[in-house]
Amino acid sequence: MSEGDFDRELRDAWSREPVDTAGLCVAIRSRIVRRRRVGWSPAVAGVAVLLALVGYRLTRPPQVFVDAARDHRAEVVEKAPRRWRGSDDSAPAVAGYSLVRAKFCRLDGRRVLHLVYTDGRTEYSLYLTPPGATTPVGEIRQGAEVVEGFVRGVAVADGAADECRKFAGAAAAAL
Amino acid sequence: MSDRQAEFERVALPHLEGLLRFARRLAKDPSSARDLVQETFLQAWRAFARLRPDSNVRAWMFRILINVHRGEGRKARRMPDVSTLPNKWAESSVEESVGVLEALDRLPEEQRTVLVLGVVEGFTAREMSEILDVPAGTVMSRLSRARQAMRNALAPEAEHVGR
Repeated sequence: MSEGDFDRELRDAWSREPVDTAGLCVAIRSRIVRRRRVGWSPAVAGVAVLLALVGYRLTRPPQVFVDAARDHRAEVVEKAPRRWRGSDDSAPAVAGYSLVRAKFCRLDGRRVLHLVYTDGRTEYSLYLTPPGATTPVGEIRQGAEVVEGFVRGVAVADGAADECRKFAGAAAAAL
Repeated sequence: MSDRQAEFERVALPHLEGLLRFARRLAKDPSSARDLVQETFLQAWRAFARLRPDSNVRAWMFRILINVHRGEGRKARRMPDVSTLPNKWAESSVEESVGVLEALDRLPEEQRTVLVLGVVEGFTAREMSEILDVPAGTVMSRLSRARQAMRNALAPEAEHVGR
């Protein structure tokens, strides 16, 4: 048998042997799809978590604002028992408002002077940072409280944002 | 189905039949052959993004199949070296008259492989060298020995048929 005859015979025998690829094709597709899901799901989940964290960090209010709102709600609106002083030498004279009481407290882990002023109708909290320290600038509403940050301190009122802004402006001017 | 998967199926699935036929000559049974092909396609899919556009997809797929098969052989280290053993499907005795495929299955795997790749699949010596990761000279000598072994195995059959 020549080499050519042999090769032809082998190829003929090879092609005559029945082979069924239909089920195999389905199985392969199924495994690829499973692989894609397994392969991508952790990556997609990881990106989603990362985006959520970044978004949360970008959109969440400064912790000092959150703490100030919570503190004002507990100590001024709900009048939780605290040891207040009638005045403090560091308290600025805020035009149109009179100082009611004062004490030190902590916001976001920092010691601040908590001053409570009134315009005769509403009580306002003014949290002053120590000299050289600053607070974020901005406004948020945290529950019923409006918080105004203005570099040297944070003003908080329970109610209308306009009144809180007005008090914050007066306090900033007095510092 | 993603565009990438569609492209993969377009270039890879046409070789499914050839790969399955080849796997049946390597694996110990039909079920193992199908598993071998499935694993080949899965590994090809994983590596598909790195495949250059000008690549010989058919040779690439056969190479993956060979590597998967070798990997499975390494996993079964306690078993005898499969590369030198005849295919387990060929259970008939040497004295029986044999067909071409039976004779093929009785060849040592390294000879069987080059015979299929070279004669049936039509790969060049260089392509086989890349698929099998052995020098082209080794491929050619294996092919020569395989042809001779097949002639020897089929000679009694030819005489028998001619009587």
